[in-house]
Amino acid sequence: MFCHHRQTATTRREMLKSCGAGFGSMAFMGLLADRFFNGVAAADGVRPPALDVTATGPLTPRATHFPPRAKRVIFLFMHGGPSQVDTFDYKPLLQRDDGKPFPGDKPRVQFAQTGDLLASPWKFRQHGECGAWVSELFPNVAEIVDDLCFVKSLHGSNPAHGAALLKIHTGSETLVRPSMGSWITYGLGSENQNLPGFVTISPTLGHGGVSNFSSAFLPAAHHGTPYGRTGVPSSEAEFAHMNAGVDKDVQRAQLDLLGSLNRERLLRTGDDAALEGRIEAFELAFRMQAEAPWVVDTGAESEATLKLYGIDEKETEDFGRQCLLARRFSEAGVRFVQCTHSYKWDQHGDLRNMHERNSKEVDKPIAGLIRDLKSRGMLDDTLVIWGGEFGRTPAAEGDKDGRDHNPHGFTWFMAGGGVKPGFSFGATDDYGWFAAEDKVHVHDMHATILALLGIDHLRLTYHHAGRDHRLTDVHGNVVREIMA
Amino acid sequence: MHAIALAVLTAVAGPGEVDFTRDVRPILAAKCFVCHGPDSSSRKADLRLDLRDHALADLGDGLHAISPGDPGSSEVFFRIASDDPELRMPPKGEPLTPEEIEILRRWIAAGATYANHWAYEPVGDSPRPPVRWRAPTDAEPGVIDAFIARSLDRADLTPSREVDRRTFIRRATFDLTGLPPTVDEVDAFLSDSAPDAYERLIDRLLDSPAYGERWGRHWLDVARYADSNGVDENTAFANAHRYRDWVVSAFNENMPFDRFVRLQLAGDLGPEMDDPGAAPSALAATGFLAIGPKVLAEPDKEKMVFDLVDEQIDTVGKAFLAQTLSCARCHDHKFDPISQESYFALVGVFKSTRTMSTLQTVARALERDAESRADAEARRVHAEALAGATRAHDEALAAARHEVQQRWLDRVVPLLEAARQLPPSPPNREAEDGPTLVNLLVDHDRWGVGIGVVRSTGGGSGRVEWEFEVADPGLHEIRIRYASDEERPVLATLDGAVIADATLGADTGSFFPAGQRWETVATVDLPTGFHRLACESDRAFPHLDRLAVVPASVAEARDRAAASTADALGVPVEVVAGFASAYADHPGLEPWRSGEAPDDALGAIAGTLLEEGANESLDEATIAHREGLRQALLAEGGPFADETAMEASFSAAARESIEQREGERSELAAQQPAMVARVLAVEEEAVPADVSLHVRGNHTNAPGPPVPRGVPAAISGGASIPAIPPEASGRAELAAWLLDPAHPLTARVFVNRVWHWHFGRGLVDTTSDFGTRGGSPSHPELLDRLARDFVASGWDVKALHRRIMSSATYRQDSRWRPDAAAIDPENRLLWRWSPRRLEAEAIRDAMLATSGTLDHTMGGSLLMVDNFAYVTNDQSGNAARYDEPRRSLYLPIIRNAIYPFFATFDYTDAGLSEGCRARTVIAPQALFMLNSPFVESQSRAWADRLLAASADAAVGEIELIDRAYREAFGRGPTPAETSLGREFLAAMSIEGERDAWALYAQVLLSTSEFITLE
Repeated sequence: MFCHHRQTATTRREMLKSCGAGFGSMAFMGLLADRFFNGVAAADGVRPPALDVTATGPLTPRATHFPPRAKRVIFLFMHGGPSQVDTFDYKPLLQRDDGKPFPGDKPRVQFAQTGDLLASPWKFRQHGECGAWVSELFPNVAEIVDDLCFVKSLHGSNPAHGAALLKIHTGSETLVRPSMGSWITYGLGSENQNLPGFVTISPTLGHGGVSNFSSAFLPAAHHGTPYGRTGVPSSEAEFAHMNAGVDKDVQRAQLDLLGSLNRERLLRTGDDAALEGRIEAFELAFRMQAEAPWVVDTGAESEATLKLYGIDEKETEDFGRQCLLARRFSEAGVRFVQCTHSYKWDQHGDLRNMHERNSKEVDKPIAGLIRDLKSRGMLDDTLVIWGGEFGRTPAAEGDKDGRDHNPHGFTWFMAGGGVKPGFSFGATDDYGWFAAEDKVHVHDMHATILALLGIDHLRLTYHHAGRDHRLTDVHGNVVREIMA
Repeated sequence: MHAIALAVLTAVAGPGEVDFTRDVRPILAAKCFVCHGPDSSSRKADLRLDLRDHALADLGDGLHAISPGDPGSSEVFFRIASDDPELRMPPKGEPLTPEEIEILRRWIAAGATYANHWAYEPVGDSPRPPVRWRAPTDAEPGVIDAFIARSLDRADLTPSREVDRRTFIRRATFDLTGLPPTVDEVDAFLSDSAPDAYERLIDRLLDSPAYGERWGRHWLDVARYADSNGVDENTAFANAHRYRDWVVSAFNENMPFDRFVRLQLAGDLGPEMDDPGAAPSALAATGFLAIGPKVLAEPDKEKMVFDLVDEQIDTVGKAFLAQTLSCARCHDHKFDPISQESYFALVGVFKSTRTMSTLQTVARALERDAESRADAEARRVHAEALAGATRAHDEALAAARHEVQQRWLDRVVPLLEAARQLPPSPPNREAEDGPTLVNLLVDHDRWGVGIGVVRSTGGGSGRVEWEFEVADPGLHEIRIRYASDEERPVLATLDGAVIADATLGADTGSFFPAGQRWETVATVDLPTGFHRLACESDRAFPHLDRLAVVPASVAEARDRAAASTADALGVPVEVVAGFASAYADHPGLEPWRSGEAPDDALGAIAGTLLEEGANESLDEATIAHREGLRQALLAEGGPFADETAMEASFSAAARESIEQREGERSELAAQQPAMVARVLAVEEEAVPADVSLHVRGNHTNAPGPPVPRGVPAAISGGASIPAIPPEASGRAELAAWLLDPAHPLTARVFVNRVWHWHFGRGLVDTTSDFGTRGGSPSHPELLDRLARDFVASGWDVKALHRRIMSSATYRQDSRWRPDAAAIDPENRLLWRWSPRRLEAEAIRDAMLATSGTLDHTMGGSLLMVDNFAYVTNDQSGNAARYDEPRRSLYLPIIRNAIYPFFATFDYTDAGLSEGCRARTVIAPQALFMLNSPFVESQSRAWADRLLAASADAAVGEIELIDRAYREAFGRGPTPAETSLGREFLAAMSIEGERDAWALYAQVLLSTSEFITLE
């Protein structure tokens, strides 16, 4: 509502200058310092300590338990549940036995009713030196398989979206627990004190919503900061309350006055860590406001970079921009960045059309991001993770063009950050329904991600409600086999 | 934090004195009990250290874990102090600190005496210590002060001086009402020189309705209150606010706390249910059990029930007992004496309680009519009677219809004959035959299988146009056959002129061919030649099947013939016309059109159409004919199903019977009990049952024998263990056990919560964890004294407030004192009143109150979403709105998407019982103050109000700044503050006075002082 304040800055700046020494913040600080140590305060016999603006904050970088392989994480989350048997988990027997009944027992609890086996409508081919199987849905990712590490035996515990999202994000599908990104910033701090440590781009409000990036009982500074939200194009995304409605100089003047009034108060109350913190918080907010617009401004990126991410094409523009922003946040020192490809992958029906469209939207941006990180030398210490909340059943649901949810066996892939490149770990059964070999539970994945960051998941704890909590609760085994 | 507190307390205790409860047990609980504690399943080396007998026992080879008086020969000491990582305990995690090792050494050296955990011991007598309060205060030193003074004395600390009145009224007003005092209230209190001024102030605040809003809101944290489910499927609890409003009124009425607890756990089971006045709120109170977050799309229904019971047990445990009971779901509690068996005894209680109306995805919580047992019974009896009367009426109607239809069916052969004799209709035409279509399509596959219909492509406007030729000029009827399952009128034009502006608009009962019917669109005079008939609509189209242009003369001739046939056969003319029309083109009559079936076969089959189960003896062809006939004649839209015609043919006797029953039905309907509010509530399951213990708490693991329903006896203290009758869930008994005056926890937990909300920190700082790993009381005897007196007062909550707020302890100044801070930096011993930031709601309410925009309306819901509808969705839609200037507790609390203002200022996540809000200082709070539209609009409103007042009274800038300070802070500005304000306003004057003041107001609202209680 103060937008009519956007006048020519010169006038105001001149105006401010014309007030003489009255409005430089440094001048005020000097004035106050004098009062602190010579004036009122001393007379009261109270000598408050000097303000320490470099005090240790919740996001101050912290030492790891052991040497880290990765310093930061980019999680590319595919909301809805991409089908493993149509993308990266090639199953010749499934292709052979199309239309036949699944020879094993189906899960005790299913989300929907499934029928007979449904062969993948897409052709698979081996790629790269590692010979990874990739379907024709991911032609660009197929070109970089030698940088990827597939985990094909992932399994979770709940076949409904909400519970599965909460599980992969927080480790618990029933209780409100801190998100993985919150645990990681709690454990490691952040490398940029002017930005949040945990940014989630275009997150969803469905299926757990904010609980998927909430700090729950961890200190609030570890809460995921949303940048935009699902349903809003990533080109229109923004941080909440980051855009001042008033001119910077006016706000600077407000902050100077505020600092002065707060310090005035401090003279009377004596030592008050909260008040000092609040003074600093306003300055940090001001710095964030200055830094964030620069980080999210992709204007200076080259044509070639925009093309690499597919930002020049309609289908890939949105997720491509998310991926590019993820790189920029990572570069700026944000510890954990999540991109969400919105709730599109839930193909109970219309599998052929929709998986085709979805993969088209993300394939090029994903490959672009990993290539870009590599060319900038960032891939070595950036862990990129791709996956959904679960996979899909090899059996058909409905009219032979859909698949049900499948938390019992699905594929994620990772790149960079200390994982073995050109590697595949674990396997599902012959038809791709159940994780069968070298099973990796979601808790194990969490433990492994923490381990790659140099954190022992058993020792990253927070005391709350009578006990020490962990991301992995009482579970989790580190999958050393995938670590380079 | 613990370490620092420990250091203070140890210093207080003096060197050499080690107290098991205060100093030793926390270390053992944190570092040892996981493997050597109560949980038998995870116990290592068969050693437990939580019981003295076990810890001192001979481990073989003369080894003892603990040898009293001799740390050197105590294996425990050897292992914790060892440098060898192979030997050192604990094997994983952080080793003990040197301070901790030293405490254990001294404890063993002093004889290793154990004590029971304080919280499970009976509440002590705690006589008033003979200590003089050394505060420089006028206040009468009370019991509280005596306990506080003793601790301060022992630590060589002195209390702070009494706070000034101005600060006190601001502190007390926010504390009791969550709002700032008005300028007038401050002035009145300052000039009140009566000796009971403080008492009257506190009474006034306690009598204010805002008190219940403030303290009810505190309780809502504990009750994990929300207006939506959260978790996986965020659907609305549109009636949750009735629980919230009940909580507010319970505080305002000063409901005794024991009643408050009992109603929340078992309000549906108490004597209130026999009192029409009390029952609604008693039921609303049980919303406490129902408003928890639940996994509503959980496909495993068994798991869903166990999870929701677990959530209830967790909440009850934390809220009333400050125990983490749900730790015992999977194993015996690691630290506290809660066995897995006692957990499953509680599972039986809550599993015998119905919380959900359906478990089917998306599951829904139970709601009940808020009324007494008798009223509910009367409602049930009435509903049953009404259903019976409705059934009787429907049966009479059905019998009458049956009779009429049978009469008509008996005439089906002559009707067929008459249909053949009727003057021929001109051929009609398929709608899909050569039309021009705009945004419409011809559907042969879905709604028009085998026949073809014209329909919409999926919404939006559409248009269809046909060309036809007229041979003989004159009046023509334009008729169209269509089907639609809802009203979809279209505009009809002929040669560009409107002939009907809303035709084909009936709901024919179905989109499928069975629902098709003819409608005469218009009768128009047509010259010879070609004409264009068009239908258009800006919404979806009905499904068009055929059209006919019938010369009026032909139509009239047919109508005459039909009427005379109707007369002859004694059936309504609609039946004749309808039968003729069906005979003309209904596929069901094809066998008779084509001659494949003989006419008398028609009569034979038709005569039995209304009989039940007459199919068995028929051959396949006859069965097909019979079904075709049913579709042609009796299906909806068929001539023999025409309600109006049927009703006109009812016999007098049938008519009388129907009317009589309709009379009875409507008489009952008129006696319908008035609608009452629906509340989220629980009820007893029809058959209460014990539940078996499941290994690791997993319901898919093989169950053991059933555990009788019951309460966790190990934390009962002196409270008697109730017997649960077989026909009861046990909730009423659970409540009675909690409220037994001899229970060691219930009263302690609540008085500690009240202390926490008054002082910002409880005597036990872990307000919801009184287990062995929770905090220790800083003033155990004071806690016991308050708890004991609270029960003795009849659980009188307002009396407890008065007692605390009239203490000299509460009236201390809040200023920091370096001498005292050096000894007790955390102020655990209360040498001052700790200043603290206001909660999110109080910050927002203070802004609204200061700006003058606060709407004080109480109660009700601001959630504009249908009950159980989604509040947030996967496209991040959020139906909640927060722009009402009502007090914050009335804004919607949407789990998974808490109002950003609240979330920024440390609101709870509303999914977990929480008695202790965080008070963080983070940059987003500053961003919110700087940039949120809310703060800007409040600043603007306040500035405008100040300026308007100044214009009226011709007040200058200095006076106006003074006014602003008094409104915002309850005090006038210092000279420095005034000059800072004036300089700022001068610098901003280029913006104009109004904007400059708005910017200034925003700064004042953003100051630390505005949101801090001192």
